Amino acid sequence: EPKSLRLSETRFPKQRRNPFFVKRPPFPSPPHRRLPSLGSRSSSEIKCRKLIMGKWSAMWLFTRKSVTGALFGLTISDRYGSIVPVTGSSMHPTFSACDARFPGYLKADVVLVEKFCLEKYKFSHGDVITFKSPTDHKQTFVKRLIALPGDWVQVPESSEILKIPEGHCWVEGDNAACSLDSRSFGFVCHL
Amino acid sequence: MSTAGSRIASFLRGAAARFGKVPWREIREDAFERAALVLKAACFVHVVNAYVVGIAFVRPSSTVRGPSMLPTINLTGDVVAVERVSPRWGSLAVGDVVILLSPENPRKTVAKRVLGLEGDAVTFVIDPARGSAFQTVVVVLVYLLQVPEGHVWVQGDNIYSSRDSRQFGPVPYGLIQGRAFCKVWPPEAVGLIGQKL
Repeated sequence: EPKSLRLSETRFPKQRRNPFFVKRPPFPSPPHRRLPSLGSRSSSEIKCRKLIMGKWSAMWLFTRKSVTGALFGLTISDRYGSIVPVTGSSMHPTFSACDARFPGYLKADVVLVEKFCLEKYKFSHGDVITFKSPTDHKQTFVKRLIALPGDWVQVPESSEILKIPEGHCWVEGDNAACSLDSRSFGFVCHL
Repeated sequence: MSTAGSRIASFLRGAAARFGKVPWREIREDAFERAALVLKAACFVHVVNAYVVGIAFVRPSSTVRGPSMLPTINLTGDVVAVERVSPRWGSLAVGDVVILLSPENPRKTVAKRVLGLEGDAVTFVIDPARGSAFQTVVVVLVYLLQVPEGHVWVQGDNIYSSRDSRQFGPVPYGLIQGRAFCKVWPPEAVGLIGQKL
């Protein structure tokens, strides 16, 4: 193609063609190699240059990529959804029972938790939800939602009937024999 | 007609030739790199806001019920800087102003002051307007209760018009979003938020 029509040439002139170009290292610059600047090289040229870079540049590039990946992963898992292993035996037929300590941890069911529902807080009866324990904010529980605000619920072992206050809900585990849920700690604030 | 047709045909051929000469690959790669940069910046802002320090606008009409944090926070609303590190570390202390999700409506955030951590005994007055030196019989009802495990007791600074733990009880620790430590707007109110009233 004729040289005069290459758009990238007019916007980002190649430095070696211009004898008066002052070499300005882009930030951050590795000690002895220039990294390609934005938009002036094609991806195949970028890959060739990466293969011949020194090991410090490669490590710096790896650090940058992993920090970017970590930021991206944190944002996605906070806002949209994350992948979480489920331990404990309180949801037995739904999630297989397993131990929270090391050897059992590897056999845990892994679930996809989605956080789009937190925009409108519209849950339905029977949803399996994750929430922070009211007695220990560092622990996360996975239980099934039994009653929503405004519903009346009968506590299973006793005969009292309670009304769920605004902003709270009643959760129970599927395996009722060994499940620490609303029967022990009462209503759960939306968390 | 034929000249018009041939002119249109030659125009289309010229346009196709020019279309083919535009460096689409470079433009596409450039666009992807810039979009990736914008995404990375957005992720960085989200992570800093959620884990390090953020800004919150405390507005009386929507976040707190009326002027519940006077005199600390203005009637018309202040912008406060909220740090997210101390609730996660568990280093909240009595007297901190915290931003928390309201237990009555999870889509609302409120600003209150922590008056009791788990295990503390708090005394509070439900209706302070009823107690007055002019009444012959003092009808100020004072309550005392112990904050249960994993919960905190929050009260607004303006106890006469504040909807807080005296109405909805102790609040689970997990609802706390951050600690407001500094006011940043309006400029004449800039300063650290103190531990006491």
